[in-house]
This record gives sequence, structure tokens and C-alpha cells, in this order.
Amino acid sequence: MRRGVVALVGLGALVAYLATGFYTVPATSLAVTRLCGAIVDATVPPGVHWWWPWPVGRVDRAEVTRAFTMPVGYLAVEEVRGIGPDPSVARWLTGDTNILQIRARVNYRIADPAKYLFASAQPAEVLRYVAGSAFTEAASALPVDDLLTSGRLALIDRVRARTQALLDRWGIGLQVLAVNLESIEPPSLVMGAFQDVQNARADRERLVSEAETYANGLVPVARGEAERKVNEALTFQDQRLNRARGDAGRFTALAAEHHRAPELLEKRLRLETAERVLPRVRRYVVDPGRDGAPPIRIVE
Amino acid sequence: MKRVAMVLGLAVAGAVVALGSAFVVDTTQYAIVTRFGRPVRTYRVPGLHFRVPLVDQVVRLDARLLMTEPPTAEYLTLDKKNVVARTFLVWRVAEPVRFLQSVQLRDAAEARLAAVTSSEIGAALGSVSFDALVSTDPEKMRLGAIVDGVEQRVRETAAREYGVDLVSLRVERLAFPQQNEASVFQRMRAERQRIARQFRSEGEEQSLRIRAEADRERARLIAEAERKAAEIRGQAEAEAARIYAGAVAADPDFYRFVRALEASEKIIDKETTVILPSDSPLMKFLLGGAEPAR
Repeated sequence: MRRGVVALVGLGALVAYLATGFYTVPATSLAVTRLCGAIVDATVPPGVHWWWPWPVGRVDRAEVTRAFTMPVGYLAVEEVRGIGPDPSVARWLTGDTNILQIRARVNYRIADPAKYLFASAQPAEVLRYVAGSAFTEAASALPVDDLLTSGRLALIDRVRARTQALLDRWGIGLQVLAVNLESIEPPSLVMGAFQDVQNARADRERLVSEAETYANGLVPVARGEAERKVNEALTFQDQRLNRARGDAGRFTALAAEHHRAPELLEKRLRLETAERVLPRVRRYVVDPGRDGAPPIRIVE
Repeated sequence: MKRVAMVLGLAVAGAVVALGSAFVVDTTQYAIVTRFGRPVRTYRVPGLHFRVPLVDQVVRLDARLLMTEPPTAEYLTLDKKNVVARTFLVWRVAEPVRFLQSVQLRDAAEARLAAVTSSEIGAALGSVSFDALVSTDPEKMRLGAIVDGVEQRVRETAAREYGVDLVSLRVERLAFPQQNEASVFQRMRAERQRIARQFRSEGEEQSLRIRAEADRERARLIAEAERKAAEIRGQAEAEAARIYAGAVAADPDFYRFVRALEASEKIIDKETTVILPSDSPLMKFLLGGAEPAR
């Protein structure tokens, strides 16, 4: 009788213990089960499952669908507290020994739950340091002007590729989704000088475009002027030749007439000329003196 | 009754011994079983293991990848430039027994690794010039090789001395010491001023060139047009002369006559006074009926 009670209590305790082994995996996660410290299933899908309860078994979950963010160039703590960050945290050396401030965010996700959970002590911190060193390797080989302009994409690509390669080689279990460059700029103490270079570049473009405007105004006008000069000459040519032909034609006609009746024509021409000339001049008709001397004396 | 008590006692004792002798090695751990302080067995495989209770102690070590950042330090390059290097190490315990005997604790291991790293970095940076670390010239740039060399030497020391597998040693950051920054900023400013000046004078240069080219083009166009116009005029004159000559050739004497008439017509204008004798042919003709003679 007493034995039966003991057995019943024991059985009940055992059932209660085993019942604590039910667990859920949220839709965003995968779970890893361990039995006596050894991994048994590294990818337990979302849902309700049962596994040996503590201390025999262990269940750990990892959010595999979530994108995490790791700031590089400033500390998350500073960002949260709103403290002005230590400037040296954001400063990198460029290949031409300039100093640039870089702030970036590395987006990553957990690619391998077992590695993420058990392979390294601080996987996210490793990611931060690796990204920092990737920025150092890339920036110390590139000139500052490249980094500020055309080299940004190349920088991001190299940092992403390098970070991923090292994480994979070391088996950290993280996947880099993107490296977002939030800002890359000269330190505030030299910002003015860098901006003046921008202004100078704009000045150069302005001077060139002004000169081009001048040239574009000048040359077509000159072309028009040249055209006008040639056209004037052509007009002169037209007029000159037409006049010449007209004159020649008239003369040829007259010459033909002259050939037929030279005396008559010549007399007619003389008279016609006199008719045209005399009306417009002052005329005096005088009688000649008897001795043939002129009737008037011209006093000079 | 006595037998029942004895069986129960044995069962309890058995359970105590079993629980005391069994131990779990996690996947993140190594376990070393020591007997009177002396390591006797190492467990690298996770799972349930056993020991002799009371006599054997279990020491656990972290088997995961660990990261250590040695204190950031200032170094001197071969060409006497100060450079601050911040490094980090990724490592794991490779030989638990050697690790246990040489450094025992993670903190101690990190301190030793940091010291080795500092001295190796110092030696490496002291033997290269600054532009081997930071350079846009791929021929000079040897940061990767230098770091790999340091990594290799620290790895050998770490494995030999501490039973540590150095997975990686990287330079997280290179920087100038605080007291050098002012002069670096000075240099950066001067460099920017030079570039700005260059842009502006380039602008002037290009502007002047474009303007001069335009002026020259204009002069060329005008001169060319003037030449063409002169040619056309000349040709026209020549052609006209030819036309006149062609016509005149038919009757040169008559031409002279006509030209003389035309000339006289032009010469005599409003200001001219003509005195006609009354016996001039025209007047005779008009006054006396006689036909004007030639």
C-alpha cells in the first residue's frame, strides 16, 4: 500500500519533469538542441517541440530572420546615451596620410545558429572589429579624394567582402547583409579647406562655361558677318556683270546701227546728248565779233 | 526490515556515487580531469563523462573562439614616424593541458598574448617605413604582409608557450598620435589650398584658351570672307572688262565716239556755263533754217 503511493508519487514527479520539456520556437527563429552538452539538432524549425529538460537537455534559440545592426566608427553605447563620441573612434588614415571620419553600419543576420551560439564568445563584437580592420586595410591604400567621391562604392564592396571572408574562415556563423556608409568626411577642423576645394572646382567649371558662352556668342556672329561680306561681293559681281552686259549690248546694237548709217547716227547722238546736257546748264548765246574776236573777255 | 534498509542504503550510496562521478562536457568547453592536481585526462568531445568521485577534479576551459584587444599602443617606424596601432586577436585554446599549466586563466592568457603582440608589432613596424603601412602606391603598400608576418610569429609563440591557437591577428586601426594630429591637419589644409588654387588657375587657363580660340576663329572667318569677297570682286571686274572689250572690238572708233559723248555729258553739270556763238551750227539751225553741220 505504502509502496504503491511512493511509486505513484515518483511516477507523477517523473511525468511532471518530462512535461517541462515542451518548448516553442517562434517563427523568426531556429532552435538548437543539446543533450549532455553535445549538439543534437542544429536547425529545429518554428513550432512546438519536446526536448529533454534541464539538466539533461538544453534548447537555445536564434533569431535567423532578423537583420541586426552593428555600428562601426562609433559605439552603440554612445549613440544610445547621446554622448559626443570620442573622435578617434571614427578616424581612419587614408593612403595619402589624410584623416577621414567614417561612420558605417553593418547589417548582418545569423546564418548558422549553432556556430553563432557556440563557436565564439562574442560574435557581434568580432564582426565589429573585423569590419573596422577591413576599413583600415581599404582606406590605407586609397587616396582621400577617391574615398570622398568615386571610391565609396569600392570601399563598401571591399569591406563587405573582406568582413564576410574572415567571418566565414573563422566560422562565426554570421552573414553580412550590407555595409551602409552613413558618413565619410574630413574632420571638422579641416572641413572648410575641403569645401573650398569643392568651391574651386565649381569656380573652374563656371570660368569654363563663361568662356564657352563667350565663344558661342562670338563665332556664329563672325560666321554671319563673313557670309555677309561674301554676299556683298556676290551682289557687286551680279551688278557689275549685268551693267557690263547691258552696256555691251547697247553698244553692240548702236554699233550695228552705226555700221549701216554712221553719219546719221553720230549726228543724232550728238544732238541727243546736247538735248540732255543743255537744259541743265546756264547758257549764253552771243554774236561773234566782226573781226572774229570773242565778244566777251574772260577775266581770271 | 533490515534487508530493505540495506538495499535502500546501497541504492542511495550508488546514486550519490553515480551523480558524483558523472559530469557533462558542453560543446563550448574542454574538460580536464585532474587527480590530486595532476591532469590525467582531457575531454574535447562534448557529452557525459565519468570520473572517480572525490579524488578527481574537473577543470573546464572555454573552447570557443575568443577575442582579445591588446591595449592600443604607439610605435615608431623605421623613418621615425609615430603611429598608433590598435590590434585584436582571435584565438582559442588548442592544447588544454598546456594552457592550464602555463597560464591557467583567460585573463592571464590575454595579458601574455597582448605582450607578445605588442613586442612583435613594435619589431615589425620598426623595420619598415611609414609608407609601407599607409600608401596609395601598391608597390610600397605592405600592410597586409606585415600583419601576416606578425600574426605568424605570435601564432608560433602562442602555440608553443601557451597551447593557444591564434586564429587571427588583425590591425583594427592605424592612427597618428594625438600630439601629431595638429600638424597633420595643417598639412591637409595646405594640400587642399594647393588643390583649390590649381583648380582655379586651371579654370583661368581654360577660359583664356577658349576665348583666344574663339577670337582667332572669328578673325579667321572674317579674313577668309574678305579674301573671298576680294576675289569675287576682282573676277567680276575682269569679267566685265572682258565683256566690254568683246563689244568694243567690233568698232573701236565708234566706241571712242560714244565714250566721248558720255564723258562730256557727265562733265557738264548744273554749275557749267555754256556760251554758244550765234553762228554755231545748233544756233544757225535754230535761227536760220540751215541744217546744223557736224
